[in-house]
Formats: sequence, C-alpha cells, structure tokens
Amino acid sequence: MARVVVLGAGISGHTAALHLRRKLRREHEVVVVSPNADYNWIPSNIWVGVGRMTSQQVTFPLAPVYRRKKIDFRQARAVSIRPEGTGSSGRPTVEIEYTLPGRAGELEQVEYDYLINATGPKLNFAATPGLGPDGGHSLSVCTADHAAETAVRFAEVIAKLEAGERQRLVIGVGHGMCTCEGAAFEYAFNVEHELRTRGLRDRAEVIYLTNEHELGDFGVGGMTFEQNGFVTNSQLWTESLFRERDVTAIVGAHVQRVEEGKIFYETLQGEEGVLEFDFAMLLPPFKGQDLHAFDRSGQDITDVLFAPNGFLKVDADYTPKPYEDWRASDWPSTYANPTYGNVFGVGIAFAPPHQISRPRKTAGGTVITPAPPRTGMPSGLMGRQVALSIVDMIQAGATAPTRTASMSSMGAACVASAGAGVFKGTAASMTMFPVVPDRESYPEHGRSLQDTTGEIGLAGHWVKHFLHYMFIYKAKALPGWSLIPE
Amino acid sequence: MSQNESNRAAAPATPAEPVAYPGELGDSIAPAPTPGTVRMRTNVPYQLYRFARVNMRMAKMIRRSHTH
Repeated sequence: MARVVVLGAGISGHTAALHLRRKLRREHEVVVVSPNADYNWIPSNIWVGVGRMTSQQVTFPLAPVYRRKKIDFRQARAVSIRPEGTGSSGRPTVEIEYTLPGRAGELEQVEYDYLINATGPKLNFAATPGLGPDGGHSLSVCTADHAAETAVRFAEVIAKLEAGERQRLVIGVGHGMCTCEGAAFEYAFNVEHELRTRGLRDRAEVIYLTNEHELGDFGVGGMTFEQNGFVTNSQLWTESLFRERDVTAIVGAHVQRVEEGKIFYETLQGEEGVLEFDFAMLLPPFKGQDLHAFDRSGQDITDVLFAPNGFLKVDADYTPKPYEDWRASDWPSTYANPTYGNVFGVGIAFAPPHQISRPRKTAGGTVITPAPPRTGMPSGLMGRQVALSIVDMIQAGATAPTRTASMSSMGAACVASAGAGVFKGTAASMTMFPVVPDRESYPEHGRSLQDTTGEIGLAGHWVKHFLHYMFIYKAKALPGWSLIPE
Repeated sequence: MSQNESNRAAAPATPAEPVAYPGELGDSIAPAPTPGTVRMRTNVPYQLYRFARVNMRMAKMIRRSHTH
C-alpha cells in the first residue's frame, strides 16, 4: 500500500488529488492537507470584489467532496517535511498543525511515500509596509473574504459618488515583484465598467498602478499576435483599451509603502511619487509558505528542498544567467525535486528558474519586474500530470516520472474580464502557445503566431462565466468531472 | 494616455497637481476603436459567432497542451 500526501487544495493540489483517487487502486491512500475548509475558484473573486457575486458563489466546502471520493482530508497546515524520515523510521513524514475548529494547534506526523507540495503562495503583504486589508490601508481580492470586504468598500465609494463626491480609485499591484497583473487588470476594468453602467464614471478617476514595464506584459513578457492582416502586440492592444475607457496607467512602479489614503512609490525611471486615493486595491507579492525541512538526524535541510523565496526546487535549471541566455529548457517538466524524487512541487508552489518578462531594476537597485504567473490552466495541468506520473510509479513500476507539463511546451487560455453583464459585459480572450517563450522553436516572436491570439468582446464574458460554472462543477467532482480538461 | 484633468483636479486634497503622475503612461499611439467596433463587441448575433470561434480556439489550445 502506498500513501500520497497532497499539501494544498487549490487548483493544482485539488486537481492532483482527484486524479490520484480516480486512477489509484483502493488499497492506496490519498491524503489532502489544507488549512482551508473551503475550495475557492479564485478567478471569480474579481466579481465578488465588485459585488456581482457573493463569496458563497465562488467557494464550497471541501470535506463533503473528499468524503464522497474517499480522500482522507485533514484540515491543517503543513509545518515541516522530513524526506528521510525520523531517527526511528526511514519513512518520510510531513508534520501538520490542525486548523480544524476543535483540533486547532494539534500537531501530527503524517507518513508519505509520495508528497505533492501544492501549497500555493503566501500572500506577502508584509513586503510593503501598510499594504493589505489586515492592519494595512489597501484592499485585496486574493481570497473570497478579502474580495467580500473589498465589495463593501466599493459600495461605499459608489454611495459617495452618487452623493456627488469625487473619488480616486487606484487598482494594481503593491510591490515591484508582484505577479497576477492579469487579475489587477480585470478588477480595474470591472470597477470601471460598474461605474460607467451606473452613470458615475465622470466623477471617478480610475488609476492602474503596475510593475509591468509596459501595459500588456501580464508577467509573460507580452504577446505578439496577428490581427486583421497585421502583426501586433498585447501592448498596443491593452493601451487601446485604456485609452478607450480613459483609465490612467502608471507603469514600471514599485510601491514603497501605503499610508492612510496615500501610496508612496518609485518608478523604473528613478522618479518618486505620492498617490492619494479614496479606494485602493493592490495585490501583494507572493512567497512560498514557511515550510521547513529536516534530514534523518534532525539537521535543517530547508535550502535543499526550497529556494530562498520559499518555493520548492524542482527539475528546473536554476543556474543564474542573463536574460539573453534564458532558454525554454530552463523550465521544469516533471516537477520532481532533484534530491528527493518522491517530492513534487506544482502550481505556484514550485520555484521558477527565472522571470518570463525581461528583468529590470532602478538605478538604485530596486527590482521592478513581474514574477512569472503559474496559475489557472498551467497550474491544473501540472497537478494532473504529476498525479498521473505518481500513479505510474506506484502501479506500473515506473522508476521516474512518466508525464511532463513544461510551461515552455504548454499553452494557456486566459479570459480577462473587462466588465460583467449578460448583454453588456466584455472580456479579453487570449490564448498563447507556449506560456514560456521558446526562441529556438519560434525564433521571431518566441511563440506560435497562429496559436497566440486575443480579442475583446461579450463572447469573452460568456466564456468566463461558463468557465466559472464548469470549473466549480469539476472541482466538486460531480459526474463526468474528469472529462472536463484542466 | 489622455488624462481626465477635470477628474484629477477634483480628486482629494492634492495641492499643486503635477502635469502627470511619475511613471504615468504618456499619450498612447495605440489605435482607439471606432464606435462601430465598440458596438460590435456587444452585438449579440456577432458575439454568438465569436463565442463559437473563441471556444474552438481554446479547445485547440487545451488539446495541444494535454498531449504530454
């Protein structure tokens, strides 16, 4: 009998757990450890943040799903990993601390044969003084609760606008090394759309504050695609939308601190600015969860398993090299740790070898570059492929991972909402192939021109809405769930 | 990027407003859509067609990415 422990129940971990249970014979155990009681379809949090959805519409309890699928669910957070076991036992363990009401704080050692670290990001609000809703001065849509709180504050802004006051809304990222610019973009344009449809747009100034060097970078170095007989790029395409909707953009910015009603920031050009605001939604940078690792003798080997940013080291090429020498092959494909081959890192939890966007810093040395996104479709695919590799190693005698899911050989479909509404909504529908540019296969643009596309329209909104219901159906593991691709 | 000066002037206590915010994107050369293009973005029959096209494109992408 083998036991596979999955840390985290987000898109990647939950997908891995469901596929493991689907493929593994019943004698093998699948254990999921997650500190959260609920699953959250995070892409729809932006609609919670403008009051179009409730937090209940984007979440559901995990325990009943796991009970039905016969997956052992432990509501707890992982504390440390002992990949060589302890002194008395050679079987690897992970130490967990329960968050389940009634057992909160209780520690437990869980033995494993295979471990998938899908713990996602730690929302690192602390990287920027004053950032975030918990003790800070800005809002967030990173969790359903954050988004619900943001919706309340947005409703207050609307009330003030309706009373004739003017308001300045700043939306973007709260640090020079943030990722998920796409989510900030979506929230900015949903806010703009809500204000416009209520006839309040002329009293509101909407500012998009981003660490991207140019609009349309989205942390993937931008995209090039063919449109109406021309080769164009995501920068022009995105700028066009900002121009059309009269949204001010501040680019190449690193937020230094946030105070009550004020954002202090610096730019790649070396300028410093103070932005006063009435409403600010700024996404935090990410780091890995605070997991530690110990060898059999109790020696700390955290740096063997984890990169300094807390993300799990996998089969990537982490050799520091200049941007010009970055290769698609630097990116991992099996997601196995090179030292402990039965430990895997998927989704945001794996350590990327470097950014995708060109790295930039100020003359003073402040790095202002988007971190690489690895959410959504790529995240789900990694979870699935790692699960299938583990199944092959347990049941088919494979001695190494059999499946791959490199971001340099997979594409991504991304639908960025630009306003909700069955007949008035719009969204930017983008596809790119591959996610990480491969300049050896596609020397001119790094990606396939045929498979990298973008368009704005109501159809995109329908697609995003459809995906919301489809992926929540899939995550609930209802009949036919496995037929829905990641 | 054009800036709505009337909005900015009326924004909360910001004395001596600068001409532009540090880091603000200047006048963009990006093409602005015509009113017809904007209308077509929410034209239901046309968007039904685009819905089918977008789904086909995404299905192709997903199929290609699931073959490893």
